[in-house]
Amino acid sequence: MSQEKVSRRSYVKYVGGVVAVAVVGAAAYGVYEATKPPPAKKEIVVGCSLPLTGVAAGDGAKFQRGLQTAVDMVNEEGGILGAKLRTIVYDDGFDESKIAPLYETLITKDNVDFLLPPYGAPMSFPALAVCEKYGKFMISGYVGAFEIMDKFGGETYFAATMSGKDDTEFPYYTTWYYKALSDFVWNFDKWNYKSGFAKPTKIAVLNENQFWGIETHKLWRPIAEQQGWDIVVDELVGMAQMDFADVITKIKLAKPDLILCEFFFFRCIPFIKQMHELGVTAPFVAMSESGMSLDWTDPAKGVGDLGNGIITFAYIPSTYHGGRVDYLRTKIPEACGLLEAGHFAAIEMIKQAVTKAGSVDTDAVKKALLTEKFETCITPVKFDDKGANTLWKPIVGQWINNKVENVWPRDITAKPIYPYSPPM
Amino acid sequence: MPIDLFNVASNLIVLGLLEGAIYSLFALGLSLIFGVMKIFNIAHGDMGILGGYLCYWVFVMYGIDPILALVLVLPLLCLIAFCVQRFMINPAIRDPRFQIIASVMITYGIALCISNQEIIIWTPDWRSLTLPYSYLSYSIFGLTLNITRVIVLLFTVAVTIFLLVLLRTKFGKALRACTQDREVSMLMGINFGKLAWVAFAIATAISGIAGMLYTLSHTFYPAVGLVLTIKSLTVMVFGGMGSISGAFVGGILLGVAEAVVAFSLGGEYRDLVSFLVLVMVLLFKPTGIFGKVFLVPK
Repeated sequence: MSQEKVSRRSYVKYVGGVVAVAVVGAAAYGVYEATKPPPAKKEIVVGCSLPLTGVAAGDGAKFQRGLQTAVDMVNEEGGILGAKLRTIVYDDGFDESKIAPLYETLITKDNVDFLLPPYGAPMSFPALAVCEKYGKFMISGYVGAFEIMDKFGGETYFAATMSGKDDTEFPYYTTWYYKALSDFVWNFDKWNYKSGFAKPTKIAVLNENQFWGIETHKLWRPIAEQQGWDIVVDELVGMAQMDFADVITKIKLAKPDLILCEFFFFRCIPFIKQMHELGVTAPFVAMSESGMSLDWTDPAKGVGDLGNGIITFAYIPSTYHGGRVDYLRTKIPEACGLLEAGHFAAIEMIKQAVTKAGSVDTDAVKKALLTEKFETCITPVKFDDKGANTLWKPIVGQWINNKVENVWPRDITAKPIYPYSPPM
Repeated sequence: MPIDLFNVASNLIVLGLLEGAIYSLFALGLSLIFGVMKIFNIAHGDMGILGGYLCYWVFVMYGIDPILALVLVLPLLCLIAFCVQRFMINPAIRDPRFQIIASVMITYGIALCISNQEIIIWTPDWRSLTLPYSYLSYSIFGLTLNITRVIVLLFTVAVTIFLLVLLRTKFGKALRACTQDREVSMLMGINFGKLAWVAFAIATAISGIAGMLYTLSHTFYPAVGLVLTIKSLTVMVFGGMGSISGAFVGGILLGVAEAVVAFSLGGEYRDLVSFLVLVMVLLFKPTGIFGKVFLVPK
């Protein structure tokens, strides 16, 4: 048997050929890995922080209950694209300083697929700044303020209960649900109110010293000037304030005809009770967020009969049956407003957007959010390029006999508006 | 708009007085504990609110007025106080060098346990007691006096008188002796351990009464206990640590100061008053209005 001598050149050619095949093969595999569809997700994770302890814990628990109800509903119906939905909820204790670290954790450690806002605009701002940093976005069924929409809307933030700026109907800057409330206040002469009360001439304006509170605080003065009203009390209430004896004393001395009060739901309760302790009232009282939950009429958790006659907003009209609101009302009978419905609506939007996008990819879902229409328990939704809902039609209600009657705008309701008449 | 200054001032003083009464009541119990045991009980407000929740529960389940429900609730609170003091606080404060810091840490933990248990049992929702007389008010010379707030003031006065009388009894003298010098008191035959437990129980009972009265006159929620503890601490320092009359007067003055500042500058400055008062007192009169110098145990 003879041994074949392989020359050096042949050896180099041989090795070079093997290496070339290996490189091409590796490149081809790399391209294949990069372009093949990702494996199907087994779960989709939604994260947020809520005040589960602290002064706003009652409201936070309602949000959480609505969120869990929506998640259970989605999972019962097979999940989203075959993936089960799971939530991660951190307790922020209604403390703004905790928000940014919690959302950093949700994004960088928990790797959540979607984010929901914390409770309220002041808490949402730092959360949105974190989302923007990591190229994530938030979907909201509740929170909004124009400063937030201006900075984050359409890219980092999509808000179902935020309508766009409207310079045609009002020459003044209006914020989310105040589009209806300011329209209502502006058009007092068109109110269908029970006779016996003269048009208000003196108004008390109370807002919270934070984003949308300051925005609406600026709103009322030009409206009052146009209407010829005298703003006799004009207060910005601190975020930590839970005792309102000072401002109620001012109201008592000023005797306004109309009190316009915009507080978080949990603050509306002690305010109304203190008003009664101090024997203070007014012909008309509007507390925009009193409609957030039917707990308002519960004497143990809310204000009971003292809330009768309060003009309100932030509720879901009983005549509305869109989205899965009937399912929500079956599971949570006291759900009449945005506390229980806020995150429920956000989950509805996530499910529809992911289904339409075909994946949880951020860009694909964002594109779906900006192009598609959604049905939620609060309102139909069609986002504009600023993340505001072009289909949001807020209406004003009044608590009458423990439920909210629609009283404005006049083209959708002919119900009369009653003066505030709690048992004294 | 012209303001009737007299009307405003009198309304504010009355408001402040009635609100300050609740601060005084909480501070009375805290002063008693500090005076005898030289510890800061951070769980004081939470124990009080626990008493409030228990009275609320008795009212909701059996329809018994919360004031009467105290008959059932106070013994239970005293039992809880015994267990807390005997099995949690005493072991933590054995070393007198770290007594104060250890007491702060252990009682803070107890406060968190209590408030979280309240969340579990009663949920974090705001609660309120609506009784037949809750919104009964009387107008006298343009002042509105709500009956529940007047009840708080009357209870505060009664508890203050009770404590001042108690301090003049044999038991009270033993308490005062321990406040001045524990070691010598023990050498004189005073059973400090038993005395401390009784003082802790009385203080907890007072805080339970204060908690019940707070729920009578305010909407409440589990986290409010710590807020009340901080207010009580401020009043205690302001009035003089360990001083009963100081706690009473300090609470009233703080309530009036808060009402005036809130009316003049805005409600968000209300809480600022407490902290400003605390800082000013510590800077210029650390012993407080009626306080005396005491020696920290070695």
